[in-house]
Amino acid sequence: MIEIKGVSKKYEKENVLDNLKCTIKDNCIYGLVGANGAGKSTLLRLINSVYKPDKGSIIVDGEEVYDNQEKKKDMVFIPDDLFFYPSYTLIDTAKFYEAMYPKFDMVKLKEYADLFHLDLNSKINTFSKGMKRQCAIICALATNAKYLFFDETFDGLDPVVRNTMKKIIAKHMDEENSTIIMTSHNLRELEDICDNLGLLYKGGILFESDIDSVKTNMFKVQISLKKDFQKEDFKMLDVLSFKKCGSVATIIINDKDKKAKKILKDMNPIILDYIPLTLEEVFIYEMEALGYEFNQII
Amino acid sequence: MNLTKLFNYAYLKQNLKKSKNILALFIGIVPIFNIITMIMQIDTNESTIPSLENLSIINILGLYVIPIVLSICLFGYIFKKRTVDFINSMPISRKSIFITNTIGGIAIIILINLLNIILLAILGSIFDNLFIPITLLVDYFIVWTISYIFVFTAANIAMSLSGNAITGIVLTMLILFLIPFLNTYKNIKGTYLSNNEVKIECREESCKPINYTCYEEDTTCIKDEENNIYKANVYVNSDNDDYTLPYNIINHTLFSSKTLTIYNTKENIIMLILSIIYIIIGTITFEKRKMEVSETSFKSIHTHLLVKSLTLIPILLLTYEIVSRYPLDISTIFIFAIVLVYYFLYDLITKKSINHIKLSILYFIITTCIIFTFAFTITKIVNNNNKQYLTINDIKSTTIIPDAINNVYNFEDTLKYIAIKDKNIINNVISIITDTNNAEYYYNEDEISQYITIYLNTNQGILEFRNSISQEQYNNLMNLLIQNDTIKNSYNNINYDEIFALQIGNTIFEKEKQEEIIKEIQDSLAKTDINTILKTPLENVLPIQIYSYQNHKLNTYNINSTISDKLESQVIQAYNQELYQNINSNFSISCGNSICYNNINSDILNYVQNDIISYIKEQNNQVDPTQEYIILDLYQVNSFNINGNYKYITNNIEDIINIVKNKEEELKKQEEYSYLFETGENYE
Repeated sequence: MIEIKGVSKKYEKENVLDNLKCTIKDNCIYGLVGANGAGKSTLLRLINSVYKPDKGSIIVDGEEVYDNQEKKKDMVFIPDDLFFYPSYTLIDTAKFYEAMYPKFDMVKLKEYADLFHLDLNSKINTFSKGMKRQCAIICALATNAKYLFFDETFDGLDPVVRNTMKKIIAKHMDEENSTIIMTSHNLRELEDICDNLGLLYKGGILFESDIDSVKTNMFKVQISLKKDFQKEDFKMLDVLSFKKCGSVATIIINDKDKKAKKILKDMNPIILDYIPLTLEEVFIYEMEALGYEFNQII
Repeated sequence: MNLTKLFNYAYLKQNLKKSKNILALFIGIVPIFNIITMIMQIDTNESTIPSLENLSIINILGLYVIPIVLSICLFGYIFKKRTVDFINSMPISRKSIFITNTIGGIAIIILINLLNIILLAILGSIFDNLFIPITLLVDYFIVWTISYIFVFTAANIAMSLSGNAITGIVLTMLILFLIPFLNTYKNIKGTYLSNNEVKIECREESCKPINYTCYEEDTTCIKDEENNIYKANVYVNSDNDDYTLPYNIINHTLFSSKTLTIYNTKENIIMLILSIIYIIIGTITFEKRKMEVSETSFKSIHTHLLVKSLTLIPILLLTYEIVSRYPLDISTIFIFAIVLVYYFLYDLITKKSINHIKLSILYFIITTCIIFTFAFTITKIVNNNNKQYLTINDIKSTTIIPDAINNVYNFEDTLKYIAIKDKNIINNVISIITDTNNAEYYYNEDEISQYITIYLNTNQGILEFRNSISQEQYNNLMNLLIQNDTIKNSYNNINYDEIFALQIGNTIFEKEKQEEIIKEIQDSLAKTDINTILKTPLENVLPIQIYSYQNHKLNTYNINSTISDKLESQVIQAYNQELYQNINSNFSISCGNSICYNNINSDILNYVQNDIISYIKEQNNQVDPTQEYIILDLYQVNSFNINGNYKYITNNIEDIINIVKNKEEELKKQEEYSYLFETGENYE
């Protein structure tokens, strides 16, 4: 488990992270979203000891992680801006990881390289941006580290590779019981892979939730009643959004106690359609409920 | 602390692997250039005994490049965000990274120097005419390994503190040079103020100058003379503090005329201790480094401006010297303009942008004020101390180095290694350096004079006198030196185990090949009065040079071969043999001893070269040293080698005289050669 306790980080005079508190439980894929400059990359760098927090501490499995050589053997970080030694091939890079990570699995790396048609003996610098990203991710997966951190994970990958990569990452998490933390400024990218999501805004986690529960607790319904109706007619429900167009209203309801559907049915509606919410919509409405304009946050 | 955790071999291997090309270049460059230099020396000289200084030319250049490049290769990752992400996220602590890189760098430095001495030793064993004693190679290894490590550890601190490589290099220079430079400035300030003039108080007759003249209007001089105070025109090197080799090299190049000594035990210890301190400081600074500071100079603009201002110190001190002498000169404005251009150019080089101009100018003004105040204060202190006034008791010792070209006495080569504390000699030296006629000897070609360098080691620095002195003064000094026990002991106490080579003529022999001669020298010197040996002028003897490497120095002893008949015979044989081996060259010939000068017109010798060479070829090589012999000096002349200098020694004096006389008669008949017979005072 990763516990981030009141972490602050300042670049020159700008506060990038400010008293950030967050807990990431084990064996999950945690998505960290936020606008550019929200502090996602900085947070990953702080967790991975690339930078030192100005304040606060980061605890991994009960141990302070900063500059903790032993603990870091369980952590691998693939940054947004990738680096490979200029003359290195994929196998050279893999050997570097193998030298640094005791649980590195060269067989697994070769399997992944084969899967993505990556030549082990070609210089990585001759590869395309997407191929470099694939190299970095498969090297990270082959370390068998307990915690994997991917910054802008799927940046540069084409849709086919992106889907394959998502499957591999999910499979890896299952098989190795690992915890994967990935960032993106695009919610849709993380929607189908993450178990948990954290929204980073102005140096802090603005909103954090389990995706399944957030999606099951909240739903969108289109409804039309025999009589004329207003928002007040639904005051017994936790209405997050109400928009009426003619005789049909679109309502977003937060249904924590699971009674909403029955109440709606009991109103004998002429139309009652349940429409699935995208993760983005869930976030928009949650943010609005908290008094933020989503468009300004992400 | 578990030491194995601090050193990560896997990381080092990968870190070195990524820079393998540049590292291979730097590991190879010094040995390769050294080998080339040595081969060139062997090629142009018949035999070579390189000193530590000769061997070190490439190392000196490498000292300011290789350790810094090595540090950039190992720590350069911290200057780029991408590489910081990559390396610092790896399971290795910062302390481990620093210690691993430092150990790796030191290992490479050791490898470079080890490779260097192995190659030099191989070269020495391949070429018969290259002589490098093992002890010299050991010293070479020690001094260069320590010096390179010292610069490397200083560079590591600089890299830990800087945000880019250029600032790292600037900071390395500041760490290495700033404090010693300020000390040198303080020390040499006295030299500039004194105009190279020192006043020495001397009350004893033996130290008073023979000739001392004051200008009529110079009342101070006249008054001083009345009080037995005499002026000496000497170079005052007050900066005789111990520094480190990297600074000493710069210091000697810019501020001192004293010969650079590469090996200095005290300096080595200082560098070693500083290296350890630098490693500790480096580890702490690297651990505390803000890794987000990359691709710029420093995290804080104030640190950037402070470092920039520190780099201004040397140029501002120079500006102060100019301003204090010529306050309204155009050069003052010019130098200020240069300083300002540099000041802003620095930003462009290190930060790729010029910003914070107001703050920058404020720093510039503050730095200028501080430096000018510092220089002003130092000037006052130095003036008040009146460093340039000495009494005879302030002089601790003297070292005398006669001009090598005019070698007259056996012991002149040994003199340069000896600090003489003898009161009589010091007094004599004072009388020489305060003599106001010295300058005239130099400019008057008719006067027979000797060029000499004298160092006086005083408690206020080293005074260096370089000038011509009269032959009489020179002879008096040499006569005193001959009686000096330190010099006698240098001959009496030659450590024959340390001798590695001996030279007869141009040929240098390995000790092992000439054990017999060395044994004879040892036995003969033991039986002979050293005074006799020292007194005999070199021109009347066939000298043997023996070389030893002792106390980290190459020592040369000129031995007079006439101290024993057996030795003389062996040496004559060696000289003649050497000539026979090169007899087919072209030579110009001159007289080599007084028998020759007294019996033949030496000018004619150049017209009988072929006759003499033909004669020599026909002769056997047997010379009886107990009988009179004539010595001819033969100078090899060809387009490639003008260094060959051989001797022909024979008892057949009449034969040589006849050859010359026959030619002389022939030439006398020809009008165009009449000039040859107009002078010739030695000719009977």
